[in-house]
Amino acid sequence: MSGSSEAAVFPADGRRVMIYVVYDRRGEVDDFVLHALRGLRAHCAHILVVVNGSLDPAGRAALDEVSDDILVRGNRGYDIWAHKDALAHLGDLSGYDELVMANDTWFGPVRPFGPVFERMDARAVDVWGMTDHAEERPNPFDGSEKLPYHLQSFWIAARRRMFLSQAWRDYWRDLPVMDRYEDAVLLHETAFTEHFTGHGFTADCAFPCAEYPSKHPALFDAPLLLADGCPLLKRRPFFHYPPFLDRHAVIGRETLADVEAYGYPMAAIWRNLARNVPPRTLNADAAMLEVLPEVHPETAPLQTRIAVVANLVHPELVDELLERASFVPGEVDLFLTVPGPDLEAVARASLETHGAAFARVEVRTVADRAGRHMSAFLVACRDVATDDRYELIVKLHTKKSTRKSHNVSEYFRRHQVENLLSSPGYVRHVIDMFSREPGLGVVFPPTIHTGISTLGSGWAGYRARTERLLAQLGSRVPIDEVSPLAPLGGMFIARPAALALLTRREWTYDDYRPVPAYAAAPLHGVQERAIASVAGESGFHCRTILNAEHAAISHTGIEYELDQLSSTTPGYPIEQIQFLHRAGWWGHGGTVALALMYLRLNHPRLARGVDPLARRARGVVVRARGAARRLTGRSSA
Amino acid sequence: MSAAPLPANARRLVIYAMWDRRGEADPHVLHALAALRPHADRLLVVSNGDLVDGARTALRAVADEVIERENTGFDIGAQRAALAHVGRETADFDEIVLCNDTWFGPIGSFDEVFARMSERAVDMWGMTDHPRLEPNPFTGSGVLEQHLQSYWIAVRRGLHQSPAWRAYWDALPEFGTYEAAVQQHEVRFTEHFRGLGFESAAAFPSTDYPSDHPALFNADLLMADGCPTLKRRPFFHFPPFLARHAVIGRDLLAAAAARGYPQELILQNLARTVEPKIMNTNLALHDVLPDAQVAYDASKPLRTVAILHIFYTEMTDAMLDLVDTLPGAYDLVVTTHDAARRDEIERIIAARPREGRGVDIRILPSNDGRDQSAFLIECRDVLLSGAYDLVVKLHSKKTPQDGYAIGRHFAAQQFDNLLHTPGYTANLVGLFQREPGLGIVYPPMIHIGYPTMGRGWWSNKPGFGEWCRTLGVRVPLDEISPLAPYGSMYIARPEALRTLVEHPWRYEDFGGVEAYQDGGLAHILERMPTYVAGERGFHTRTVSTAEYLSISHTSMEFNLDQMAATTPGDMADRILLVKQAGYVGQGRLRDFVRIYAGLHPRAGRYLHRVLDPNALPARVAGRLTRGAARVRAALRR
Repeated sequence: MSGSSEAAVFPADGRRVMIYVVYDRRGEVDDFVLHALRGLRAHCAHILVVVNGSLDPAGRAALDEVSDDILVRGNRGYDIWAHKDALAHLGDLSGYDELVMANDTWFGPVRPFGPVFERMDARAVDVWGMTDHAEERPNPFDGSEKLPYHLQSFWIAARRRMFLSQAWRDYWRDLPVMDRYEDAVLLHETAFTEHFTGHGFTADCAFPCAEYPSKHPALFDAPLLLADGCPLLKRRPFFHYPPFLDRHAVIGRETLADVEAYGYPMAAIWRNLARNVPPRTLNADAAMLEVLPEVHPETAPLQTRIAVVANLVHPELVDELLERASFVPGEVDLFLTVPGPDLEAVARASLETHGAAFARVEVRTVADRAGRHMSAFLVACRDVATDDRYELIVKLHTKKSTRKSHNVSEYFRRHQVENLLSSPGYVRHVIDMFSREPGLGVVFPPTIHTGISTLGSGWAGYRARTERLLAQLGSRVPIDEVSPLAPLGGMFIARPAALALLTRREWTYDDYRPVPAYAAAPLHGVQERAIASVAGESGFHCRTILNAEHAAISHTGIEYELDQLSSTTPGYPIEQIQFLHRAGWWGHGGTVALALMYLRLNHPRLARGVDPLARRARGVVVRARGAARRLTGRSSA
Repeated sequence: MSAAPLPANARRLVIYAMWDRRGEADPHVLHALAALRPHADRLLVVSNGDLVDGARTALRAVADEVIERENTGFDIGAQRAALAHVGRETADFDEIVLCNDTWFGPIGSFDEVFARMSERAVDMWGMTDHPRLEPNPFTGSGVLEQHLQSYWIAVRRGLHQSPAWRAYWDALPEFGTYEAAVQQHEVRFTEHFRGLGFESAAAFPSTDYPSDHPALFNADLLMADGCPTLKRRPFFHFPPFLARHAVIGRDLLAAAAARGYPQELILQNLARTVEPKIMNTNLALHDVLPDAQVAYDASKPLRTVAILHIFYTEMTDAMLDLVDTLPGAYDLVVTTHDAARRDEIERIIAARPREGRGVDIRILPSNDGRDQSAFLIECRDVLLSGAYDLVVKLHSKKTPQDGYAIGRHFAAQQFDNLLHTPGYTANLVGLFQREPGLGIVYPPMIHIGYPTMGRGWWSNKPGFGEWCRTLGVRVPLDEISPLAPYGSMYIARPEALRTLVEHPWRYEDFGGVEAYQDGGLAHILERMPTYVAGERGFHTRTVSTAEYLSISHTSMEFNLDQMAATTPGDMADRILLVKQAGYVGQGRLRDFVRIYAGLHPRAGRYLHRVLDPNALPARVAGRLTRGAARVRAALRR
């Protein structure tokens, strides 16, 4: 050991150096990162931001404002090797009293940094972390004897005696190569603390797990940590596999309500999550479904400028649709697209009753049926969809499917129009949602499942073409595995800016003609399934909405079916799901399918060799690979 | 022979076949008979199975004659017996209506349909019919002929006095199974006589409706067209099948009520005869209540007592905060374990006066049975006093053994969904004001943090069945999970719980550890309230806040999507497949042998004997296969 022989407090005039590691799939800098760095600024003499990957000019300019130095390096070795490179970049640290190594896996400060620094400054320690993880036997990651007690690597502060020591230099010099996420956890994060305490350094924790009811409070007890003043909220509870969080009753929606009450700028969280989490996963993790009441206390007129765009095809449904459209408050312009004069006449007649609700009515004839309601919106009403004077766009159509049974078609229509436009009071609550959250991009009813087989196969044949479209539009929002979060049915309420990636492109009717390569995935259905990602890429999130009646129908229905479907597999839902996913595709339960299920469960390598359905079960196999991570819910690298 | 309209002074015989598991006269039956009375010159009721005295009297008050017979041969057996009973006197009638109790009615009145059909020159007419189908969906081959549905068939003199008529009944075998009665009578009857030259018609022919089975799939359209009969089946059939066809029982109930049918007759009948979770699902008997008071009538207060079992006295204040959201005055009864706790509770209550509140704090003579015995034994006098319309049952729930976050969520799931804000609680009480038959209200089944889905009975079903026999409860038990107040908190009418409260429970019944294990009395009683309420004709509703609905719905929706990802078809297909396959165990070889046996019963039985001499899994498989057979049968209808 070099330097003094005792652990020391942080001196009154001490200098703190911060290494903050950023990874952004787009090479940009997220608002929540800037917010974190701004919060740290007053507490640090020097802030070095390490970017894993690339950094665009706007990101660099933004970081320049809130940091002292920027190091851009290849995205290798996770945060740990970024820290190693940063240490080399900083060189001589003898001018500092504390070195904080942090990363961007948390939102903060949710509570102020000041009190935590003050409290920890006064402690004579060599290294401290914000949170820690209790020892676990056996190690849930690799089955070895134990997972050692450790400080979590998203925030580790080392004092001078430690970071100027020979042990420190040795540790970083000998740092093993980390190609896999598991390496970063097993070879560094969980070993670091024990390594240094073994060399006689003293470790401490600002919010020790011993004071919390779980071994991993940063993941399982975020509300308690925040209540105790912890400035950081891990991002993981908002992108992790929902059935895992479910297993532990980690309820993101409630945590976020607390975070909002502490005054954190929620827009930064929503923007980050919308851009980086698969939309359906996010919808589940943060429970982004609103069941809205029918009565609204406010009756004063609303100033919001809203465009209602409705495609009219079925004359018998026009009157109800326009009546519901008249529930929309504010300065409402109504744009009707019709196939010809007959429908226009029907619409005009209906408007004699409902027309007073609209500031302006315009009827446009759409000669070409290719693309149906979507082309009517994206081609015939492109000017409206891209008109920034509108704060919101309500997209409707007279929905009827002749290929479905009467009941199914009828319920599908009701599910759309009743959940979007239940009553004047209800719609006012929807508008309020947009007023409250500037980042709210699109609302629509949850995935219809009554009468239509969606859950379990929501992508149907649409995935490949949707992924291609999203790539063309420049979306890097991750894709949901089983089913997309999408306004299936084609009706929604959106901010024009949230749809911009889709609406700015100059679509033509010809784009909607059948394509042999995607015979089962017509473009209008692809566009529906792309909307949540399109909004997400631009930083807007989606919420689903239900009125109380459909919420009752849907909740009781899903509950019954889930109960039935779960009745032959043991364990918690996460265990049931993982078992089924490992077993793979059932087919119709024939001998070959069952034999392959047996192989996949018991001899997975062999199964990969012989499985003719491997491609079909691809998504499932991919998911099964993340199993260990899901089961343990571990990570902070 | 030529068919003719009914003459002006026509005489009509109505034969009404009924079966009641309790030998009682269901109010919906009496209602239907009273409405048939003016249309019947002779009204004959045939009961399959003996009637209790009160039923006999009640039926005789509305019918001319009541026949009781052995419960054999289904409705057709009863009708044949009635025809034999009337014998030659059938010649006195121009029209004989053969009907049964499988419908609610009249929705509106019988007048129009009788008047309209009297003018038709036919030999027989039915209320509804089923179109010709090829292949026959029951057998998979051959033809299912167009047929009048047997719940209502009227035959004119020209037919019922013909030799062919007598020959038909003489040749009809005794049916041992429901399927045989359908296959060999219902679907053949019409074609048989049509082949002999008799004319038939349906009052509401299927050709006018958009499905093969309007009575099941288009009950809404039938009612709108004036059809007076509403089949019970859309309310009790297998929910995933009804979901497949978008049959929304909740809407059917509302439509019947809107046409003046007393909906309490439907609810009461279903509560007594349908598995409660199926009823909860098919009628979507769940209410998401808003926090703004919208549905409470302060001029009709309900006399309310809150019974609180308090072990953790530090929760007293929070529990009283909840109870104080009750509208108007209430009485408070608190049970606790010792004098120290009593004094503490007394002090807390005294510090928070409430107008009109009577307070009664009781010390329990025994700890055995916790909140269950406190409620059923210590508070029996309160519950049987007749002084209260409503009882609120709460206890100081913590469930520390399940982990902090999970226990906290469970407690909140119970408390917050029962008593939330004053507006919410008033709306909940308003449910009881509106529905005199509403017996009990509680939150839906807990599932976040608990592996309840697919196994809500745990091992309590056999013991539960025995207690049902002891208590005289004949409500059918749900297959997979019971509809129950998991957590034992609810708001109920004491009258709905009377069967449970009147039983002479003793503290010793709850003694020992085994009472709290699965299969023990505490867990059985926890699941009992809805079933005892149902026996007395009271139905259950589940309730939740919009917040909980959001969290629960998004969680279940995600899990169902994941659970369903590896099986083909729609949710009903998937459920059938996995249930037919049976318990998956650990996915070992012997588990797959069992699964193979479930899916391929013949080959499976042989393989099973060869590979797995242990008989237990076979029994399990047999049980599950029978469950699957029920599902299959349900899907065929």
